[in-house]
Amino acid sequence: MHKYFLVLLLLLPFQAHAQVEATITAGIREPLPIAIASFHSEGGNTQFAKDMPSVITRNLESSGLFRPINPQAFVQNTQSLNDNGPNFAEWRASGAQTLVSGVVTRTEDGRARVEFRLWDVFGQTQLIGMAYTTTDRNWRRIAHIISDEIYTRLTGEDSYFDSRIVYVAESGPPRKRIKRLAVMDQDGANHKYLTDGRSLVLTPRFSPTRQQITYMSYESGKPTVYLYDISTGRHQPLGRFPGMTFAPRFSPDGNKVIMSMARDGNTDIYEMRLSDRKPKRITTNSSIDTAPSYAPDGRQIVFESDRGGSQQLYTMDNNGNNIKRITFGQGRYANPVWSPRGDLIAFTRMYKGKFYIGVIRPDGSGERLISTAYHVEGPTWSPNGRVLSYFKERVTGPGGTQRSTNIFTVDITGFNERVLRTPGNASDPAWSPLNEGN
Amino acid sequence: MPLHLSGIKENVTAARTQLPPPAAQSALKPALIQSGIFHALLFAATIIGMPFIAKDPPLMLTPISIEFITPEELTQPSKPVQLPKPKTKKPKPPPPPPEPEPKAPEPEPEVAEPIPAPSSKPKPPEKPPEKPKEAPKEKAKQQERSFADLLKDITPREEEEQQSQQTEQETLDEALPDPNIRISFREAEALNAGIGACWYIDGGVRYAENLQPKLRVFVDDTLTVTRIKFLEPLRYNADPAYRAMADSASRALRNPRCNQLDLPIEKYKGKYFDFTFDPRDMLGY
Repeated sequence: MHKYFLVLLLLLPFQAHAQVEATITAGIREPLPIAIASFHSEGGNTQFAKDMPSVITRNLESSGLFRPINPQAFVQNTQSLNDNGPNFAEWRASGAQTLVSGVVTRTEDGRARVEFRLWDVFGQTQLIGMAYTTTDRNWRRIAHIISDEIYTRLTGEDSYFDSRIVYVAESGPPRKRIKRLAVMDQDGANHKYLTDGRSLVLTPRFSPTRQQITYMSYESGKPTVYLYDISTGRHQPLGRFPGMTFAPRFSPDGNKVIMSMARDGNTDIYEMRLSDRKPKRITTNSSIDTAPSYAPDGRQIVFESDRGGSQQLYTMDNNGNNIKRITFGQGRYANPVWSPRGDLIAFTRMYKGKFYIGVIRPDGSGERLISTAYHVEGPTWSPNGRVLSYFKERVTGPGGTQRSTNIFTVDITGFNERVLRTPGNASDPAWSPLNEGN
Repeated sequence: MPLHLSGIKENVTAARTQLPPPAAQSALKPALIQSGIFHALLFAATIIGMPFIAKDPPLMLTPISIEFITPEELTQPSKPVQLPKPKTKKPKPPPPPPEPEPKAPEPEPEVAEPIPAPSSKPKPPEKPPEKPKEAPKEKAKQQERSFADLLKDITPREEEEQQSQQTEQETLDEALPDPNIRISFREAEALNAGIGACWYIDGGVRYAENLQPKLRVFVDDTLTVTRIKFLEPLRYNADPAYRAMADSASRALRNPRCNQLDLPIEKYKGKYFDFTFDPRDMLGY
């Protein structure tokens, strides 16, 4: 009797299943329509109440995942939206799936309080509501943070709008090129030069945890890896070595720098703790091992090497053991960069006189080439691992005597390639992590 | 010569004439050397120290205080859409008209759940005595409101409807599957195409192969979606990527272009549906 009772008990949950079951496998792979209303301003008008929605709109649109709706299609005004909440029927009629509204007010101490809400137009619910209090000077950063919140809530992934890009700003004729370090917001705003151009600089990389940049410079007369502190503007060589040091990159915890060192005619990979500046040799092969990049968990390293006869990509444990070749295609592979989300490695491939930017899984499967040009190089990942940035060089001018270099971004799907506007020629971009406090 | 310039010229001349004699100059030498060293040091300190004095503000990040805000915090929360509804649902006041309908399927749960009944049965007897007490009060309030403000009157009505729908949902949740209803291939195709036309999928989402949200969908007599319930609430609350995918599916089902199921009404009237949204085909898995 007890047995039957148990069997019946086990069957019950299944009996309570739905009457009709179906699976939906079709869908639309298009940007999500989103309405971004003007922000309502109260108590001391602020210009940025008008400007913030534009920054948010540009951010979301540039991701390729959202299609901001033309504000001319909006029926409900900002006053009504703020006082009464959204009239969802009207917003549905505009074609929006989601809606962003906001209010800017003044606090008693004169600071700005920016409040925003993200609404599901069909579900008629508030998906997020946040308020930020800060000085007026931060308005642009607030717009990026709001963009991040919207992106994260609607995609379920971390975002990247409140981040910066350091790059090499180039000017002058090709033979006397001046290369300076420069930094800007990910959308090109707040541009600033960090070095004066007296020394050639290359391969800047942001620290994932501190306001630091490591890069290679000829300041001392030979290629040497330097450390630049953004908050103080100070820079210093990362140790004095008999040979050249180059291709630096931070460890995921920001406490170490991994780089290449050319010594006695051989190039190997070294790791250096920033606390004691003692180098530790990782590879010991007679071939050229360079361009190392850590996996996000720090346990593995991807690098390029010609140990197999041609320039290919390899992975190894962080102590130099367990080396595996992961690329076997024709041509040469270089500049591998492990994605912050760990699922892909970006690289540059040179084949039959052309350059390509591609991605591959860490096990060597699923190689995809997503951009090509006469010269395209230097991939870097957005902090969420969703967007790739790199630079393209083009031959211009009469007789092909001029070179034009620009930074581009592209979604990991390979679509939505965009130029990032810079004051002049730009190369070697490196994305920062999300700014602190985001 | 203009007057103001002539005065300057006199001063310059006077300065020239005040130069010390050669003997006195030799006495000044140590002082000049000291002054030179001092100025050189000052110059060097300026060159070295200036960059730190002139720090550029854009690189410095200033703190920003953050707070969460709820829909209730809208300055004038009077719209019918406001979502503090869950709070007002608890009293369970009004549903005399809709109650008879949901009560009809009640015999089914009794049959369907003979064993778990102990936990669920005691509840219904508790509810009925509450309803008659609260319902009159609510009705009176509604009448007062309807005279005062039409908009405010609409909100409780919606709440009533939602509440009755919720009770219906509770009973439907316990209903037995109908073995006679089997969705045909054509019907499944039509359903897929109809709802899929409104389902926005992010092509680059990570681990999309593991994101297949399940939603229970309730429809009215025209097979138009009336309510949606997420069938994996724990994962919905814990996994942002799953939640984003589930929300996207929910928006597809609520979209007026797609919220009427393309199925034979007579066959599916009064039924409810469990939909699994599977993006793998779309994303090439």
